[in-house]
Amino acid sequence: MIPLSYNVRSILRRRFSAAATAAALGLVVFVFAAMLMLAQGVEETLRATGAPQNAILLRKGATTELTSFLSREAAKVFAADPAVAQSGGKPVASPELMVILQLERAKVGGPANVAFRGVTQDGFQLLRAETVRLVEGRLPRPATSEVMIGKAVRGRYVGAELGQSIRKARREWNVVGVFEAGGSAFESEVWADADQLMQALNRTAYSSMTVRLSSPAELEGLKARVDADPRFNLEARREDLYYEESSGPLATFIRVLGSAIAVFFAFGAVLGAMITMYAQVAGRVREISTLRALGFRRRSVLASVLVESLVLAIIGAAAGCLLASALSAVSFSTMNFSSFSEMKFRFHFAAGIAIKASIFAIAMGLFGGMLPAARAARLPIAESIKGGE
Amino acid sequence: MTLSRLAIRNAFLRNKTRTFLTLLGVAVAALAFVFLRTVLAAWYANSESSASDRLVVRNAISLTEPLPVSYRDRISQVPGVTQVTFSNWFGGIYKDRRNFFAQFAIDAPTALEVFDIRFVEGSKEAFLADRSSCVVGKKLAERYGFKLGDTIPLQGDVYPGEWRFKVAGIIESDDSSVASTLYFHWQRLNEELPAERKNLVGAFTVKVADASQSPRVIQAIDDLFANSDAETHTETERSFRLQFLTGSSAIVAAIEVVSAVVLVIMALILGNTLAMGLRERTSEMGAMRAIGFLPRHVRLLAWSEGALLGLFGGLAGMILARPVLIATGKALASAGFPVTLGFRPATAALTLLAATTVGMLASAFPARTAARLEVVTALRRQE
Repeated sequence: MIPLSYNVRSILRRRFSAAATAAALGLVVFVFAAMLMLAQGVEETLRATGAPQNAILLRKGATTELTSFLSREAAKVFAADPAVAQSGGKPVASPELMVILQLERAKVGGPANVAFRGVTQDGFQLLRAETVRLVEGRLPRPATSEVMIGKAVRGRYVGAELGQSIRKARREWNVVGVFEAGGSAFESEVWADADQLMQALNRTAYSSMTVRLSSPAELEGLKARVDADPRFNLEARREDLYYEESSGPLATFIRVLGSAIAVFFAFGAVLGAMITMYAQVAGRVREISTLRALGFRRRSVLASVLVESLVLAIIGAAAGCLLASALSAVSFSTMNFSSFSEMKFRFHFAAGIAIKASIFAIAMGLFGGMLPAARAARLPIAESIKGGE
Repeated sequence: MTLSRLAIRNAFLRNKTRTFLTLLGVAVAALAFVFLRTVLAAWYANSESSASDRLVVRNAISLTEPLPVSYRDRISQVPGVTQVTFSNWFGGIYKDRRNFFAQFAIDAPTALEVFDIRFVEGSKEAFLADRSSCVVGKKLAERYGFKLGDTIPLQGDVYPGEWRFKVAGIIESDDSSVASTLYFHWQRLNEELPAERKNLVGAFTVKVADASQSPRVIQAIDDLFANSDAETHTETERSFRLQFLTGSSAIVAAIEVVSAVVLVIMALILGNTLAMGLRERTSEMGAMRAIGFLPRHVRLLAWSEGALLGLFGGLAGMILARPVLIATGKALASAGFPVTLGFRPATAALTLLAATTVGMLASAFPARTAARLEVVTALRRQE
């Protein structure tokens, strides 16, 4: 084997070329990792919103809470279902109304669709209080137009600040509290009293109801009973699966676009690496032939050139991942296609993404180094030593 | 030999493998750039094809809240309004959720006029005569192979149930969004709805006599319904459509950033090649300087080399762009994102300009080094 220090030195000798090549590879890794991080962030946010021990009841076939209806009667009937857990003699069930209100963006101006969730007092205290935690202010009093806002909503829209009020649907929604919910989609919502929200928006029914199952095994029974009830056109689903599904279109969009871009870019970066490595080989024809004459085998020469290209790729991967990991501090607010409302997402950095990005970089390095390595290995020894360059 | 011929020879003939790889690299980068700009353009296309003499009236609470159909007569009486029509977003699913396309229930007689709809196949009379019929945009018909007389089944989501519509016409309009949309009779929708959902419309589209009077008309309409149960929000069709973009503005910004990154990658590839070429020719540069060429000649030579490589790489990219765009558009459509990725001459011109400029900029650093070289050092140095 030709020692690694030989490669390191030869890289250092052509600093500009090496830096340009590694930078190009690094940028591709960065774009690739950033796209994966974003798609993952979307999925994590929505996954965190649901819980596996909960079931959500929606209108049959409804793809989002927005297009779902659940009457007060249905809420009463299914809250009393044997599958629903009890707490202090009350069923752990939260009937909710979900509506979209258009608010004005505070800083940049322009309209944005914001989800408002109407909850009942029992529903909040028995079920939602476990995931939703007040961080400032106090809980809204029931039967008033007081609201609490998610962390991601705060300061983003006109009136969305503690002590201020949001004027919408001919009411003043006074903001009395700010909550967090473990980075979930709830943090992009405004929570109000369900009855007040219904009155303001001329609704007579809820959108959905989430219930805590007394045990996960009860889900199938509940599903069957909800499905079979002829009075209501409803279905029950595991809550976390429902939310995960609603991240699908946006996450897929980011992945499809992201992969297409990454592949394009990778092709360019591979060519860049190839140019550099061809030049490294061409500039060292005599050197390589001398190595061969000294007894190094063809495959050692081949490996050595590949290693050099890999070193560049690994430098690029490290730089790209480092840059991408800095994105974890950045959040991203965009319209979630399936809920039609604006949600805040984070770039989610995970070890798996770093590994994928590094594998991607190594593949680029290998492809870039392959042809130049083959040329180096095939150099005719005698002529090369004689003829020089 | 003139300086320009020297630049051409240096750029293309000296090291053919490297030239080929560089051109290919630039071509791929240019292709990626075109691709991203086209995606951005497609994003904006919908709002750009909106008509300036059309206003949209919707519920002030948000787009998902309806308005009473009775507002139509009151809006019609506002001075400056020539015609009023309305539509409801239907949001049905055709076979599978991935087959996404827009469907609206419309008031057919007025909507056909307000949206300037032309019939490519079938006829207006046939559509108006049959309440259970629909018309489909030309592109949509091509995508799913809809023909006159076909029955299209839709699974209602906003309006639950199984709906079936018979195709009475294939349509188009100057408004490009029409070509990808299905329209059917609002009356048909209304008669099937439960009492509490009857006689509600998603939005009114208002045609004004004079676009310059729009601000006054907007104010007059909103004043009309102020402090009522359903207050309205009126805006131009363009700003109505743009709000869908601002919702996704973060994605648009991300694509903008990525399209800048690809230019940086292009610059790195070109810069690398140029630096190598110039370094290998150091002694030649020295000779040129020794026989009287000035540093600015050397710089000019390097710059034009960069620009030439950028331009030709960009051209190669443009040749590849068309088929690649069409293929990607198809792939996206099958993943459920119907975007029309057309090859636009303006985007191509922008890309060529960008590639040439990047080529020149990339040569700036190597060019400076080459121009600064002392003649004696350059002549002595052997690579």
